[in-house]
Amino acid sequence: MTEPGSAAALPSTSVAGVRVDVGVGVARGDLGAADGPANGDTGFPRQLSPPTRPRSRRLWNEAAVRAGEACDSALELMGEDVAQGARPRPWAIVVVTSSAGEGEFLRQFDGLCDRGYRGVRPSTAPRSGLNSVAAELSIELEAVGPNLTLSGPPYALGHAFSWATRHLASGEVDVALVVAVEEEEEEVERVGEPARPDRDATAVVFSLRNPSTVAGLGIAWDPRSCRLKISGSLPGARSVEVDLGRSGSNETSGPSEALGPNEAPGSIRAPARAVDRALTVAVAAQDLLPPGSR
Amino acid sequence: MAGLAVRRMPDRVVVTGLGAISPYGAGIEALWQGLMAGESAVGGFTYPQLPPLPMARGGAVPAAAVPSSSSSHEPEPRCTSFAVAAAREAIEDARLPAGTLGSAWLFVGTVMGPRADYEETAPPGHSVRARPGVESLASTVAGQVGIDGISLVVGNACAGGNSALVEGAEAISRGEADVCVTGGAEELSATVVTMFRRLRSEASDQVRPFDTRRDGVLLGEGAGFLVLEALDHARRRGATILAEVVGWANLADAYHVTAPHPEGRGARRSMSAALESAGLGPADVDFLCAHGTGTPQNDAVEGQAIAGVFGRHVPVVTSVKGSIGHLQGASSAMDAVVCVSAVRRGAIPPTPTTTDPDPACRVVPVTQAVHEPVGVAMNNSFGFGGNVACVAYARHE
Repeated sequence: MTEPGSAAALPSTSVAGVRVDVGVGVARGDLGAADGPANGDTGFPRQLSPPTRPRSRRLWNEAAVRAGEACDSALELMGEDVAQGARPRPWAIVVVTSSAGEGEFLRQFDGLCDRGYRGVRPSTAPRSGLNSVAAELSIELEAVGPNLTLSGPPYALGHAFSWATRHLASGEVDVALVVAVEEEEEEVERVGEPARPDRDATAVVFSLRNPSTVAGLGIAWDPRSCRLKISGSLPGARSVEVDLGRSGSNETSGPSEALGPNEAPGSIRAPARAVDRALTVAVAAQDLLPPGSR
Repeated sequence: MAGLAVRRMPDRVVVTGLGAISPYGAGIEALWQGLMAGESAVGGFTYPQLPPLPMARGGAVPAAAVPSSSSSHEPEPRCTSFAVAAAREAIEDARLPAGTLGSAWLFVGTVMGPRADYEETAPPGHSVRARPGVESLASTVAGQVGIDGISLVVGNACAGGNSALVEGAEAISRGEADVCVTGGAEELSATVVTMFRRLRSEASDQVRPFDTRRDGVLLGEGAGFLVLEALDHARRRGATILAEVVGWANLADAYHVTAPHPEGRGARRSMSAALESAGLGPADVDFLCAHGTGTPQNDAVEGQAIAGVFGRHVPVVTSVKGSIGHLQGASSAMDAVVCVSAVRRGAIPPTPTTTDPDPACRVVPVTQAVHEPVGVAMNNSFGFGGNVACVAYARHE
């Protein structure tokens, strides 16, 4: 086996591609940017829809709020009504994150330092966990299928897609959600208050389902080369490879168009985080979907 | 308790190495001897950097057993040091040939990971935010032991160790990896200890799983690691096979952030699914390592779920949390080490702190060590947020 992140081309013979229906949702704190032009530094590409139903922040941590919003958009795009349907649902959820719950943990610790054990709030402290997003989504949707939270380099996203498509292909689940989310610290100014650090989050959610129409996309992940390949369903459709490796190689393979971490319509900022690569994948997926299903 | 014919998976998965850093000290032998002797390693400890916090009780790793940092630049978080040391022991135990780790994969379960290390370095009142991210727990272990394949942290709360093991077993089963190193690591966190206190879930003196006087958890710290291999790979190199991983399930309870479903929906489904994937029935299981936290809710729900799944074939049940505390993300990894050791050694450690079993739990844990062959062992784990995972091991014939 080659090292993850190596520049090896995608060995098509070793990849078992899966065709699925795909919905994509993106949510971020500065929602205005999502509506605005693709300005390169802070805005999302125009074609990625802003959240359809903003949620209450009262009980959710930042990451779970944004993931929930993006999840609604993704499921809606795919025609799933989260309010309907049989519960509990045989749905799988996989979340890639390194910072979910961190803001809550730091707030709890600050409270502990300042006021002793009374500074820890029992109602919100359990939401300081890394699994808080997968947990909140599973509870909200009553998704009792496989559930996984991963942290690591960007190739964690490829592992997540592989995990999700595997559970779909086995017939174990009806829908699989692949979520990439990170909390981010930013200065927030409120009326009458000095600027202070606050947290918000960026979330990208892919809802996957076994194909019910010809609109499905092909998804293949090769853990050896760390490349995720997405192919359109229509005759002559393009395919795109996104490099999720540590090295950031952009080497192409076959007829595919390769997108490195910094190459996407709308020019996504791209430090080596899974959520940023997820935006690249989201843009690629949107471009490959037939017009009627975007 | 005879050996069983189990369903063959595409690539069978076996365990060839174990490692542990526990409240008993460093190494598998310290853990096993302590557990079998029925000695509690739970005691009082303080957080000198946090004066407002009263002394807590828990299973702290003895100072002499805390591994020295493997980094020459700055001290590693404790949980990372635990993980590196336990992974090294497991790899040495497996006697893997040179070069094998280059293509191995790594999965590490945790709840807080290095996040808890903020507390070590932050002066009271001022959080320090520039510390290694959670993902560094896996990348540091991989770098220190020489694993070049996929390395990921599995953040499935207190089921993280089992969930990491499931990921490793599936990677081998699919033929994507020949060797996976999996485990869990956690360090004591003042914030998390305080959270349990504020939730009124901290035990007053001891953890008493399934006991009428049970009143909560006491946390612990440490790391447990296993080397998983494809059966053919292990056979080709003449490895000693400690046990076979024969079934697993990793699901969601999907009910509440801190409370289990009142009918034990997730617990039942994870045990049943693990049995089904192994091709086993309830009567085939000899030993169940329960999650058994000692909280009123968990033990009542888990006990009823066990009784519901196993009926009149309830196996020997124990919970090691009475002896070492609740190691959170490392808990089920340590329990996995216990299950494999039980299969390998033909013995089951006791739950020494349980003296008055609660009939409402419908499960009576063993209070004395059991010495008899163990053909199949199962390991339950349940976490905040509803993560539920169960893994079954069989003696390899």
